[in-house]
Amino acid sequence: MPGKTNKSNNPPPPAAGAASEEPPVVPLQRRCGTMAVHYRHLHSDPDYLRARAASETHYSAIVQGRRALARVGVTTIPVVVHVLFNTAQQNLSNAQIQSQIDVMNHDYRKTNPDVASAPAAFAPLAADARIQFTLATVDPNGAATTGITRTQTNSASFSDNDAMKSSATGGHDAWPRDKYLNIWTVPRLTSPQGDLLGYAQFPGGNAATDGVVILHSAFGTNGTAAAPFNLGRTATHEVGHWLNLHHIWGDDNNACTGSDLVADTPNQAGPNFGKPAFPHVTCNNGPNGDMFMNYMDYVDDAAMFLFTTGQVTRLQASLDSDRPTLGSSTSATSPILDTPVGTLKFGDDAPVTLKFRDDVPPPSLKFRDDGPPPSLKFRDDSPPSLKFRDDSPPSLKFRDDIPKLKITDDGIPQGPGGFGPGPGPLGAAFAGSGRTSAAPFVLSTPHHSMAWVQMFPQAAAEAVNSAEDQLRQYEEVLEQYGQADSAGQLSSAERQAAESIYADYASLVAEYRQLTGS
Amino acid sequence: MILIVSTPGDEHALAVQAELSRRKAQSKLLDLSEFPQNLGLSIRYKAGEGSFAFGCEGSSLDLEECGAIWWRRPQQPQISSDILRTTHRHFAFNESVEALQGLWHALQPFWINDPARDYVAQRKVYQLRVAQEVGLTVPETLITNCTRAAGDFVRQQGAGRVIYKSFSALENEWRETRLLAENEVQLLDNVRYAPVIFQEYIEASVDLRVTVVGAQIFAAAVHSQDTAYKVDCRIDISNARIEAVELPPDIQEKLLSLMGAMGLVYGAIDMRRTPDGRYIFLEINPAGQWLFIEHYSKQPITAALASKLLEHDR
Ligand SMILES: [Zn+2]
Repeated sequence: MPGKTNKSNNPPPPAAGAASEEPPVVPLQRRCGTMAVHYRHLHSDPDYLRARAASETHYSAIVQGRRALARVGVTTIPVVVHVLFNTAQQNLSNAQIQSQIDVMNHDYRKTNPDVASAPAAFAPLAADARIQFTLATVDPNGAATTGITRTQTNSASFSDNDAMKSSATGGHDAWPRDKYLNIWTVPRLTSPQGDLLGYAQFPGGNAATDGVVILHSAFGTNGTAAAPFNLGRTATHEVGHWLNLHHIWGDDNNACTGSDLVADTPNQAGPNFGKPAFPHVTCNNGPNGDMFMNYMDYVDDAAMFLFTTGQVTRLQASLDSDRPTLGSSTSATSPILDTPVGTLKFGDDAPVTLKFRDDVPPPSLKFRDDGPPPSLKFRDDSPPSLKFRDDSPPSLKFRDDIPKLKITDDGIPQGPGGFGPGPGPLGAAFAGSGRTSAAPFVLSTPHHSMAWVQMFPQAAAEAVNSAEDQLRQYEEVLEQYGQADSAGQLSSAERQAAESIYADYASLVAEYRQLTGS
Repeated sequence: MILIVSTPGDEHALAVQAELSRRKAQSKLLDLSEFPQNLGLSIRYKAGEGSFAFGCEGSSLDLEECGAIWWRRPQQPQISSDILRTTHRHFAFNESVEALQGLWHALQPFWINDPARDYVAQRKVYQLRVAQEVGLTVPETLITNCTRAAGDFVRQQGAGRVIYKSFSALENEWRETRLLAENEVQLLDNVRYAPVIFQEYIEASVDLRVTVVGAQIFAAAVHSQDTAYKVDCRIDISNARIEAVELPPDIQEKLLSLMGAMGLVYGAIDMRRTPDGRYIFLEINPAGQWLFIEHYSKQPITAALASKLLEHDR
């Protein structure tokens, strides 16, 4: 698609040495540089490696049902577009930039009209990603902005080496990634494999290079945007990577062994190009074949139009763990306030551990679905206030303004059984009737140092979560005893049981304090 | 093709894959928890020939093309939640495990480490015996569920001179190696519920983490005695100074003999050097981590592992 020029503006003079006569290079096929960049960072940046691993661990906890997504509503992400132009034509108009934002707002809310053309087999999987984008109105210094920076550069061409992300190398510095999605548009984008439409940096990398890069002629739907990449889907695809989505075929060179780590996308051999005919069967994935209409395939803009429910879970999980402070949530209500925590449900559903996954289905979520991601919770040094925390054992103190005992059918309410993560008496669950469980020697002794939490932050966070769950359950049980007691309904055997439960509760509180350093 | 059996979240696998890709070598990460739900397996025997492939048809991963397999962090098969009945789930699980285990034994790639060797090498009881046989010094040890024997061992060693540790390290029930405290002696009765490893406490001038890749030995000193927790160098590792060191030739020789006797290509060995200069073997982790060492010691362990795999790539 050569020679498209914008004659309406006065083009700024071409920079010295710029090849202004060269027609824009439009790759014939989609090619994205994200995986090559991913490997480069993996190799050079141990922090990236660690962040990637932590992100996958968080995601697997979500998939297995051990943790729930924190953001329930729609997240609005401020965007800054850094326009890097060598020729005046590449200095994209505001209208072209806004057209790109509009496309993403349709694609990430499943309001794009073409989603209706999904094959019947895949249509039910198409999902609302619950993200919208808006050009930033405030810059990092707090001043008003259009959300667009414009930089004339001497570079007629950039490569996937991130040079466009620094003013020192002919680009523009990134804005802080905890507040903005950075998008750079470039005159040309090359790689050893050939010209690219764009590339993204997966979550967890260097803040200075966080964001996505898009070829100017694959950006938006008007101006310099050129068919077949003139429907804005390159940015939809790259932002998908930026939110942790992999290519739908699993980047395994047609081996059928790779996975995009999302369960509801079919196994697929390799990328599809152009506008494939349905179905295209590979990897024994008939009768419906590849989900080539997915944004994370390599088809032309007109042929891609959906994310799946599984992909939405993955990108939302990534928002929670990798970009917790980014964007504002439009959800009206807070799940923390709305979820009743008082429901007593004594679980025999022990949490699944990472190392010894047996083949039982993942445990159902109990009280876990209401907090911020555990990493945040763990860093927070003021633990949630707990009613009985300040009462010291051994004296049993109940509030005396409590209504009647709720549980009467089963007699004595039982404490939570089968504790999962956590040190010492966390494992010493009582099995009801106030009988204390025995514990193996090593688990019957407490940790001698809490330095282990640095080594296993994930496990420590789980222990904190689990302790909080258990404390809530204990409190519920104790409150019921208290109600019964103040109503004069507690037999001496029941009172004994209550005191035993209270003793366990007190030791759990002590451990909780040790865990949280409170 | 180099095959890495692990999980997508394994940073060590990621590091080695990045190194392999830098050297233009093909590698694949195989997450066995994808089997059998999302990962096909086809094993065929016909007319005197056998073939082994992941994938059901067409393009698939021919395991005969995998010259080297890194048995890094194998996962259990995950059974479809469509199966509700427990006995049916167990059956599906067992069948999946059987097919895979047979497969690994049927293949003849270069292994790091051979799964059967890896399985045996993880056993702490076995490790101590082999270590002693190759001439390494091990701490005086009692592994028992006899409460009286445990009490006697504690008395003989003397107060504050006994550490205890567990065989397994569940992520959610993790316990550091600990010095038996006075007030824990009364809990020794709980030993009858599960056996415990008791050992004489070895005082350290430094802890040593020795990573062996083939015939290459990367020894690092972990200055655990400057940290908040002197008994177990792992637990305050972020505050420990870590640096590359040389081991005496006779210790190097014995460690290589140990690797040979256990049939391991890779192993991470924990040792202590005592204030009077003796080297004491504590344990070996056949799939132990090294990035936390490499980061500080700058020893090229990732590169060495990649090279070892590449030597046998086809
Ligand atoms: Zn891509």
